[in-house]
Amino acid sequence: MQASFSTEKGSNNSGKNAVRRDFLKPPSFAREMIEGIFYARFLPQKGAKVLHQSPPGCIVAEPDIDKPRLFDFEIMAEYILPRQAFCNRYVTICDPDNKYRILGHPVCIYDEMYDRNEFMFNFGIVIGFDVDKTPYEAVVRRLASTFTEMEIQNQFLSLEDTVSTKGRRSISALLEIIKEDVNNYNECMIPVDDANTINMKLFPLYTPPPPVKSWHVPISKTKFDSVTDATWDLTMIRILPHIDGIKDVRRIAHDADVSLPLTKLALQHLLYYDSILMVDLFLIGNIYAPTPDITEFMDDKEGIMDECANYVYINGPRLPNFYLCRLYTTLCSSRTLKEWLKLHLDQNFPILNYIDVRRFIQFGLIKGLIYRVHKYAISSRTLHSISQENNLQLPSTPSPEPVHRSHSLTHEKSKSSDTPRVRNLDEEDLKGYTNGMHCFDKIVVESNMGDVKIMDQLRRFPKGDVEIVYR
Amino acid sequence: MASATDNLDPGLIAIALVVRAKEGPRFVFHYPPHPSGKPIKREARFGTELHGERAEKVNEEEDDSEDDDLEDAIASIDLSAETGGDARKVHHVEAPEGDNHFTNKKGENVAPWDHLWEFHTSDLESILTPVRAFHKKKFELSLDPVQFITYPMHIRENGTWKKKKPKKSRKEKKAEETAEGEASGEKKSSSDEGENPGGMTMFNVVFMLNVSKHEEDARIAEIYEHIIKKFNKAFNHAQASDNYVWKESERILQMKERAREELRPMSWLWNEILIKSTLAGAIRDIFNAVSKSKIATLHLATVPPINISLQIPVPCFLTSFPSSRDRAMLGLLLTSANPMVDEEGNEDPTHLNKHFALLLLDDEEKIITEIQNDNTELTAPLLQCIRLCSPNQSFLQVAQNQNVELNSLLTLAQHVIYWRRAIAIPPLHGRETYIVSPNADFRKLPMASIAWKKAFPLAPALSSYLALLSAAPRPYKNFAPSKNHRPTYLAMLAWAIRGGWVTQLRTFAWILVWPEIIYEVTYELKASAVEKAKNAPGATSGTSTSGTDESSTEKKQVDPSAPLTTSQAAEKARLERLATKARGDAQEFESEFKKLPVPVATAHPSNNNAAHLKDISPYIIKDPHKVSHEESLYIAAYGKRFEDAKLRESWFRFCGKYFNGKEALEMIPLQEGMKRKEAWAIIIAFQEMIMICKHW
Repeated sequence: MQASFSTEKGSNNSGKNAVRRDFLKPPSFAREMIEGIFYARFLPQKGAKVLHQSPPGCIVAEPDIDKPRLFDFEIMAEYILPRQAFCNRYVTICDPDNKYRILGHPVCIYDEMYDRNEFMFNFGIVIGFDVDKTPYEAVVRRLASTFTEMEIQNQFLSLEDTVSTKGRRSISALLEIIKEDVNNYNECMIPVDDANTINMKLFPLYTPPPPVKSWHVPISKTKFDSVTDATWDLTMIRILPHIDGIKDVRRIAHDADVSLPLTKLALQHLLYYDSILMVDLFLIGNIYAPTPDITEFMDDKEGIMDECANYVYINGPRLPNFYLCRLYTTLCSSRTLKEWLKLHLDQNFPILNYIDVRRFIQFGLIKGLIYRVHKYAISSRTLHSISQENNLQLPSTPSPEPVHRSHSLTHEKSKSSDTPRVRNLDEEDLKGYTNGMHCFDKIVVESNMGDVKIMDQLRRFPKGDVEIVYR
Repeated sequence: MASATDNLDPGLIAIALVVRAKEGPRFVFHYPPHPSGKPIKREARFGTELHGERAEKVNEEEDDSEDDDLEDAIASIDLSAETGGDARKVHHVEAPEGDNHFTNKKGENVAPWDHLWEFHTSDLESILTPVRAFHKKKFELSLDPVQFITYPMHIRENGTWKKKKPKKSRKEKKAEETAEGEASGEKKSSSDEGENPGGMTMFNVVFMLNVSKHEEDARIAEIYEHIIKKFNKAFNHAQASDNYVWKESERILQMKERAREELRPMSWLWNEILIKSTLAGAIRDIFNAVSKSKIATLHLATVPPINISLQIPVPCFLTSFPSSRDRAMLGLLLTSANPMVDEEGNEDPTHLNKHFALLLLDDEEKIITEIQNDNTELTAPLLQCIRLCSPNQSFLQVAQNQNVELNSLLTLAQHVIYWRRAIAIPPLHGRETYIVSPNADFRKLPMASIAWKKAFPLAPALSSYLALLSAAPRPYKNFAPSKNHRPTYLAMLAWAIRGGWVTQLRTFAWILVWPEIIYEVTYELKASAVEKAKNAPGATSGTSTSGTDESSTEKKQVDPSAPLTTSQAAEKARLERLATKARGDAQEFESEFKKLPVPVATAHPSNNNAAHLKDISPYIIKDPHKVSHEESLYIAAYGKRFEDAKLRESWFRFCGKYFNGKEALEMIPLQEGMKRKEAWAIIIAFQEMIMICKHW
């Protein structure tokens, strides 16, 4: 992968990559998260001392400032400038009242030019105890690395008072600017002297997304054409136009002429930044059933009914919301969509004349009102052989993985079931899928066979061996 | 259940005891001897997925997946060997690195236990003995990547470990404090020798965690609240009553010293310590239990002995469908039937619904032996509770049938549930419907099939049983081949629910108002308005459609003979004009009304296709508990149609309580004390008036 998507998630790089990521999802931090910022140093005679701080008086008392300090520095000094053994790593500590958290990266530079042969300092940030600390870790690390570098270059810190400050900013001014900029703009870019600039940016840390499956269908949450430009990753640019809420991942890979693993990786990125959603393959033989959250729809929480109506009534005149309720509540775990359509047709309600069923189902899935009931084939023989294996060797190998045939996706038109090229899976191939861990969607996509065909193949298993379980 | 709790792994990697004694801080003991610094592995699945994506994974770290296999393998060994306190065995397997003493660059002899990861214990002991400001406060230090969480315990200012029972007067205490505040720690310990033998001034059981940054805060809060705080408090109690912590620490430190002189390997020393010191044993036990999300039972050999059980509570069921972004909790029962909800519908962990039943999570005999082994004053009542309760009967029914007090039964049951031996479910019954749970853990099918065969040798195979249940939801009794099979089938059901294979499909209902009823109610509202207008006082001179105008018309007629000023005349004219207009409106309204078709109550309002009903859409009452005026009229209109008095009465009773989409109809017979058959007969009589939805 190239360009923007090759960088690590959430890492702190300023520059092009960072800016581009903002388009996908601008980080939304509340303002004024940094309560205080300080520079502390270990002085050979006096011990740990805070030399600069912003706002004034937040860590140690200053003349003319009559403000309560955030915490008692004397108590915390041990953790802000700890023993050498704990230096040069990211260290955080909470104050005894658990009101504030101090994020720091104590640095110890060993050199014979210093008293006691070492120079120890820490640039710390104080944030509220309940504030998400993860974005600030990179800031603290960056402060430590930048100032360490500058100290090694020209003793920026150790000669602070003796050398004229011509052409460089004072440390206290720097602290002030960093705090203000990070609090107000979530980033800062401050030239310190001719050679050094402090570049920092806060990145939210998202939870890792679930892995992308080839039978999933991505639905976009973002208008991609308005944010993409030529500098975007090439693979991504090829894939984006195919995200239409209908094509499954494998089909997208095929249509975009991108390899399947690469397609998945690209979609995984979009998923990480929450710019797409994943639903399963929509087929008329699918089964869906309501979840307890269906009550939220019936209660019309946050106007969800109108939202749904706007999304699904696109085939004909708009009907009262009541019909949506009726349609959702009549889904059940033993009714395929086909049967469901027929049920309503029999009751004189031709659903297809009014609503787009695919959108209707997707809406329910996305809002968690319904869930997909998956179909599994379970063979007693397969189960038996697995348990036998388990008895023989202790580390339980999780059943034989189904044999993966090369799909040669890029060349083969993969029209779901009845392609002339489809080879029949032999019984052994299919057997790998009958341990109860593989839903039919997976078999359909990986074997290039339709549901009916798979069922046909399963019938060749010994009588009574294979059971179909809906889960 | 191992997989379901994988997700709840608190990420505990080590526990250590640090004390501050006369000669300064001492790092007493840590467990395990060679902790892994690696973050814990999380369940790689999401939602209700069964298959991992290993085969197709194209991740950056290609070789990492091999590591996964390896780690899985190790984990499975651990799990299979977890039954006893045989943690030592595992350590022999691990072939301890750095088990032996070595000489460092300076030529000093270094004992293998002098280091924990890259840190020297002499550094750790100083940073992990925080000052008094942290006494009984949460101390949270992270030295990337390890989090150190503790609840430090300092000796009291008066040199004791416990609050003295007879409280000293404030003055006295203050005086003592000031006197002592001046004294240095050293002086204090020597002067308090009698009270505090050994001169220990603080101790700290440090829990070390390594969890990913996403969940750090939540995990730390959990383990702190449920384990760290309680564990340190228990130690404090033991120290106060028996000088336990110091005595044990001294013993361990002496053993370490001797072993250092004798150049003993670490594995040998740790074995010795664990055999001889109950404190070390307690640390080991809690580490082993907590890091596996199990319940820890501790026995501290003080006089009198202290026995405590600690756990981070785990959920026993899920109430909502795991989304694709949630880490999978496979095998956990999925149900909306929450037993811990009070009458107002608020979740309350202390309130156990008396209409639920107790389902043991393991073999009854096994649980009984376990409880007998605990042997506390609760043992006998707990055993009785377990023997009396059955998954087929609600607590209320058990209490009534067995003649025991309901509240004590509920308290005992709650205890059993809290300590993970049982869960509460709606009573199992042949008339209810059960389906395969969407969260069932099919990965366990091979092993579970064997266990199933053992438990029910004559029943169909587990997979066939599940296939049967999942094909078409029907009342459960239909699956039993004959009436005689029903008890066995209920036992099978209990087995399947316990394992999270099956869950109950419950029925929920809302009141559905058909156009016919809406029309009828609006028609009647209009009719009464017309009627009111006609009968309004002063109907001869003027009527009004709405009651608000009445006062003005009346006022006008109070003194008709009085002479009129111009303004009065103008006012009168104005009122007359208004009255005429109102009269006109009323007449128009009335004639319009007369044109309306008279509502006809048909037997099946849902099928009424009359032309005048075409533009009215059916209406659903969201919450019958707080209805609007019209909604209450709809309910009343339905009520009027029941000729059977009993049905009518039930209608009004059920409406507010059950037809709200939140209370399952299956609860009606239990809560109303009816037979299921009877209750369902009534519900079926209502079926046209309610919208039904079935979900778990």
